[in-house]
Amino acid sequence: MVTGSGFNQDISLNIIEQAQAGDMNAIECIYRTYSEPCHFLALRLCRDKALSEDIVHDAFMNIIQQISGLKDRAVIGGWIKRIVTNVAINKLRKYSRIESLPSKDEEMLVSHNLFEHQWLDICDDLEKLMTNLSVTTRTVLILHEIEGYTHQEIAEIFDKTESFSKAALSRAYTKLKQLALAQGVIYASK
Amino acid sequence: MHLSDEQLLAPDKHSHFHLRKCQQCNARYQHLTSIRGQIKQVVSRSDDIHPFNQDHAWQRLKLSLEDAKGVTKTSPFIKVSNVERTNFWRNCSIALAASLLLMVFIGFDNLSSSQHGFDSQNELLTQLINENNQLQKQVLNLNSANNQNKAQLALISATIQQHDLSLQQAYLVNKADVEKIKLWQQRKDILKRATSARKQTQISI
Repeated sequence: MVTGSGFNQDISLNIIEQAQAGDMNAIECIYRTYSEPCHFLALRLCRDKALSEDIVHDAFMNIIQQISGLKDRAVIGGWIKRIVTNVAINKLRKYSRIESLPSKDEEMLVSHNLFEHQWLDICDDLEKLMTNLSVTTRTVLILHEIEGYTHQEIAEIFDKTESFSKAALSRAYTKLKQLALAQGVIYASK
Repeated sequence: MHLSDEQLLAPDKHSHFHLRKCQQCNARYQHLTSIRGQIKQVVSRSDDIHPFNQDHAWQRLKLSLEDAKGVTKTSPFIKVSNVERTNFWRNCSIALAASLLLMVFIGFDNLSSSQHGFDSQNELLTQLINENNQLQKQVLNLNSANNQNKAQLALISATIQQHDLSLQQAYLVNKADVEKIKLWQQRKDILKRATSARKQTQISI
């Protein structure tokens, strides 16, 4: 029996045990439970349907290969999510979509004015603004703000420091604010 | 001292404590929460635009898993050194012969168990098995006559091994004779192509 939603869905420990023993029916059950949230996570990160399908495919090849080594069966959803994220980041790296931040940008800049007002209210098309972010800053924004990863976890995924993650997130918001304000000005002048 | 934007983005215990007391920072935090909500909404919208075809993706994964199993079995053959390659074909031949014998045995066992219904399909099956046997011998003879193009032979061997797995499966799950005939025919075609290709290579040499 499956309860919950997304990666938080619970799956019977019995099924996981059977999958660890190589039972294809149990593997299929796990796939059918978690492949959809995996697809959406991959899609959010790469914004490419075909690539996200490849990511889910490759991630599940890894999952099936590694499931026998999974000790804490209760955290299978989180474990799968992490594998999908890693595969997605590696794919983005492979296709050179992830660029490194200039080293000076990895330094923490202390700011106090990013959220003085709700600047997205004046924004006409947030989706368009998001496409203007660099892949790195957008990916960090999604991982931290949507997927709930901590800076430490993001640093591990990217094999970087926490400062990198914090700086990338800050840059994402700074850029979004700039674009939103510019869009607001254009929108107001029409 | 007010909280920095970075502290607002990932507040710790102290930041939460400060937020409860400081109206200014709390207002900033509310703006951030609202912005976050809008971003989440936009990102989640793409989920509806690109629905996931789970059945199709599962079939693809299943195929890859089957392929991966096949590669695991054949890859050691591909990576062997030159010295090992000489023994490789010999071992492969034995494996092929054993596999074929098993097929023939199962085939005849099946035929004898259905003696009463010895129909044209069974005749065709027997004929195909014999033809496969003959072609198998030809491939082995060609190989002992010419020691070249081992990579090509390894490929044929791997293909046949893969095919034999399907054949074994067909007998194990007692598939219809039509299915078995189809598989034996395919096996024969592979061997036929292999023999003609090998003959051409010998002539050109």
